[in-house]
Amino acid sequence: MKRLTLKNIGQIQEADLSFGDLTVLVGPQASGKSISLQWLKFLLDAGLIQQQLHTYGLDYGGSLPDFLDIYLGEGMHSIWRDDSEVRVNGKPVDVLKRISRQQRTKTESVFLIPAQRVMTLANGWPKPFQGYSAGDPYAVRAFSEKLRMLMEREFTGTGPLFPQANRLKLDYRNLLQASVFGDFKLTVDKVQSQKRLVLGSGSNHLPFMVWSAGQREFVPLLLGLYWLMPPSKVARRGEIEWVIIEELEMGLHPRAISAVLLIVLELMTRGYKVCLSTHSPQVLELVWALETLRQYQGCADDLLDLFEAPHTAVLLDMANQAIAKQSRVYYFEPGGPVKDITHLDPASSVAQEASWGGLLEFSTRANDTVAKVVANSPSFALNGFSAEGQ
Amino acid sequence: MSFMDDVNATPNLKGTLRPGLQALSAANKAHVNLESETKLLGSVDVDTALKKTHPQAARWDYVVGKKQGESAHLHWIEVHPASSTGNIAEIEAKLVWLTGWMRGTPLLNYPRSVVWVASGKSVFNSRHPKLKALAARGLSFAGGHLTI
Repeated sequence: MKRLTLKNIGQIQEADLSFGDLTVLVGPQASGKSISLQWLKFLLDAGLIQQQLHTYGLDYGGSLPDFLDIYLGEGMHSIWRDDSEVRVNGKPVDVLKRISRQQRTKTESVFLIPAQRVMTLANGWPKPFQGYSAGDPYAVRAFSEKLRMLMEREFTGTGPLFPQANRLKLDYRNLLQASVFGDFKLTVDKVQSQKRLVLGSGSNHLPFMVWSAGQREFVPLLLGLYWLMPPSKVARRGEIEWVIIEELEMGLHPRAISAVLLIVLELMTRGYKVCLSTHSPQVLELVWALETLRQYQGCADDLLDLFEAPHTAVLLDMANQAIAKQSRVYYFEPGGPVKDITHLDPASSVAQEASWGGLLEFSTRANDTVAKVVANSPSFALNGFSAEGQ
Repeated sequence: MSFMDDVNATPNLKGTLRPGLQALSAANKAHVNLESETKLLGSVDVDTALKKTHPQAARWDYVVGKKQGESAHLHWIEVHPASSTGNIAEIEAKLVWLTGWMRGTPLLNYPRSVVWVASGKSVFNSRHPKLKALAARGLSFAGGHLTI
């Protein structure tokens, strides 16, 4: 898929999205970012989704409203109206036909890490698909099930889950250790035969509910990244081509966000197309820097300097590839068409682009407020020195 | 005293007040938008007016007077590149000159905004620490377009 167009769906008036190697969606809450990303998943993985719903006894009986209530979550049937439209690469999609006919292809090409990922480990262990209620969104259930499979199939031995030598490159592990885990290791222990994830330091083991907010948010994301980067020489997992990460910044300090963004670049260089939704200006700072580096022939060293990452051969190779990738940024404006703000020019005459989809608004106002007060204070004119002296 | 009187009473600015934004060059005027209710009291090309008397100084570009109630609010506008970090030092030098020069004029007595407008593409966004440092010295960065 190169282009997805959604019209009159929920809060979306019109979203005409052309995807880059990295596509970032910004906009206020409930402006349609998440719905757009879930449509992308549905359109590419309809066969797999149908199969999973059938396997777990979720029957929508060929009804689009019922399907939307199952797929997007309870009550979400209301987003579809008589004038709703979906187009892929400019061609209209018959959505009802797509959900009512069994699709032949059952492979998964989109891996979606949902914003609600913290729910998946609520009891310290990934809940299975059927452990959720019928009204919970498919994206959460499917992600949770994937983490459960990962834990059951690939982490059966002893030793920590993080850091682990064959999972993530050493440079990434070091950055994550410093920015997210500190002295702790992520391990599995048992309480009365029940496995659970714990953060351990020495003999001290902390269960899920005791972790910091950032650690609780990050561990499901980490496990998702483990799924996407298998411990073999294969660059990608299975047939997966797309990675969607909703609000990767949740709960994280800017240094940890920086480490995660570096891994996002790694995903891109492995050939994944990455889509992010975000409220973090830091994510847009990366796109801004990437676009500028590409435009002005910046090099891998420049990109690694941005992350304060070591200039190892592995990271230099990754950064070299990342600079060549194309990015797109879209602003979801409530009640208006989605705008392409990829250039992110702070001097743009388009207000949404200059304010980076509103993410810089408060910062700009803070600067203006401070400047106004200082410029009108008695001490302002004492800033300088006599003009006659120059 | 009116804004015009004070402009005329400022050394080397006598007779330089122009109606509306007419003191701004066409290229620089394109960076300034007026709100529909804005009433202008005129503009002065400070840079040109002081070129002879302050040839080596890092002169500020313009002052624009806006009616505010019964009085005036002055917008001190510098249209300057924002294409590299080197521009920060240039703006700092201009700000130092402006504050020093303004101290000897009746224009110091007006409420004001001191604004840097990018003349082209900007490499700065509002989170840049240098822009915050300039704000702490009284300077706003308007990006490419200032609305008054």
